[in-house]
Amino acid sequence: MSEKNTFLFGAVFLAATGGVALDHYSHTANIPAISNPAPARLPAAGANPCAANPCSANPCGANPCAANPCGAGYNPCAANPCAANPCAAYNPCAAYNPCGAANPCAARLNPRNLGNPCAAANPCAAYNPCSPCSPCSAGNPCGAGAINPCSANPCAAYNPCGAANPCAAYNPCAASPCAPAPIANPCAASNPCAAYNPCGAANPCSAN
Amino acid sequence: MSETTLKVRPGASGFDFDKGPAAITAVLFVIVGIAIAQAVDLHQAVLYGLGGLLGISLYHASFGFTGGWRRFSVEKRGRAMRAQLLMIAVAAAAFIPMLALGSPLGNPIVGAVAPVGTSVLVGAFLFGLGMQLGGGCGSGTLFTVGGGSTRMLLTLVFFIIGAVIGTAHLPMWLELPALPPMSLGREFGVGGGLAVTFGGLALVALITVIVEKRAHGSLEATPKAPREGVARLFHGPWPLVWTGLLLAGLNIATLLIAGHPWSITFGFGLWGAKIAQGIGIPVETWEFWNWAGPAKALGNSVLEDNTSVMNFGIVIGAAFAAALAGKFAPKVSVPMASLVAAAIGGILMGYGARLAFGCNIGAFFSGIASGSVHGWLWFVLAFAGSWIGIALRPAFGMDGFRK
Repeated sequence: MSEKNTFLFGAVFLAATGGVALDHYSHTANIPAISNPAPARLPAAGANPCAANPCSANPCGANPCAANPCGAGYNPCAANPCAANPCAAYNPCAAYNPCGAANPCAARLNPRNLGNPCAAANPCAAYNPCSPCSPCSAGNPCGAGAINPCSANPCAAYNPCGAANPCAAYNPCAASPCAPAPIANPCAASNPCAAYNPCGAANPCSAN
Repeated sequence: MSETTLKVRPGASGFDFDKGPAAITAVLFVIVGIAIAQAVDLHQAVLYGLGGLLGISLYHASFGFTGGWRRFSVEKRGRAMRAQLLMIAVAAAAFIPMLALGSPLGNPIVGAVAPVGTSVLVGAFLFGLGMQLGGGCGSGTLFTVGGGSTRMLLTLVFFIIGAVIGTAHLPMWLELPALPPMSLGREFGVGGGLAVTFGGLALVALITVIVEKRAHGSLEATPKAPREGVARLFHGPWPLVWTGLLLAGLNIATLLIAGHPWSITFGFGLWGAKIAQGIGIPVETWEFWNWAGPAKALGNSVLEDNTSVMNFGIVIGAAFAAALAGKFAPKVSVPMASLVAAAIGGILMGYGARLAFGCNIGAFFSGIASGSVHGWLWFVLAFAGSWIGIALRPAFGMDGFRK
């Protein structure tokens, strides 16, 4: 190995190591800002968490979501045929899709809860697989101007608001007492259910 | 060979290695693994270790797709291509049934299945062309950089630049016509998917056999290794077929541990995007980097990215293998024309890989093994691009169809 190459590769290695270290510590110092953009308002202690919730008519007790799919490492997609999920595999974000192994909801894969779109504080908007800004939108039939991902769209069977979703009967997008008016994105910040979104740890349905 | 060369077990079975670089890279490999485990978690450290094994295997067998394809195109020798096809077949035998199960070990897994569209057509062609000019594919670039190649370091730099440009343009390409993603395992069931995949791979292997026999009268015999046993294990060269089987096993392990098959080039785009951010380019406003997956990767530490930590492992693992082989950084001066080809090739590969949903690993190896039709389309178009790339190599002072 020549001195010239020793110097070149040594410099590259040091620069790469410095860059990785800088990147790592700059991001780990900013986890809340990046991963969980804004804390959701939690219900007052002792109050009925459903009182101000448009989902209050929701029979939470019978809600199959009671075991919050985002909690305890349980992945709602795990039991589903992910292979048929329009968000699976073929899009550039496959590794991060809700059915993917890197699913941040899978607590055991993400013990530090980094970037967890299901975290209580995360409004989910950017990560909602049905959202127009979702990675699925460019490559799947949900895309192309589908403002309301809960409407009759080809993804219905797979989206969290879809009819085939075990939560459908109780979710805010379903034609149920929970949804007095169509709501485009159950996770959107403007959604009155946002604070109670089905992925949120603070989801009052979870507790019930 | 450096001055620090140590003679171990002299004689027919002995081998020389660069003691200094070997010690440094071995210690470095362990330190980086511990650092990743501490900074992130054991899961990432295990993936890094898998990358290390991949790097050692790739280097010791010189398991590159570029050279194998060029050798078949130019010399009509298909031994390397058949080793690649066998590797993919073995991986497919595990991938397709496991993907049908969804969560074979409890963790959900996804395959490398992508749309069959214009972006794949164009991207794969550009990638194939670029890999002949760049002198290596995705995996080849990494393991040769680990082995100390100055030229491939330049290829890697431009590979990263091309990948970032690709992220800027991918949303536009995805607006063009495309068929939906097709998985053979889903279309035909596990048995049918395996049958079609094996049949396709066997057909390509048969074509290589026919072409080689027509050109040479017989198939090339496996060359006798200069050393055997432990000396060969540490020093190389490793046999192509056995290394292909090992790489298939490591890809299966990657699928089970990472939840997705082995891929390389997403990491390049991510590194480039982070560097671009560092110099003030607002990549976070680009559509691609606002998609959830890339946004998450960009917003988190690079050590949280599976592909990146595996890439780090490949480079350091290959450096260790090169030191054991006594070949670390063997070449210093590279002609300017060759450097220009490396830069052009790197850009084309980076851009093409982004458009085609992966490189020779993510799209060809993992794609076909996952039963994805896009993997087959990638193979055809990349091979065509490779053919053109070989024809263009003489313009940069490199050997082409004529020596």
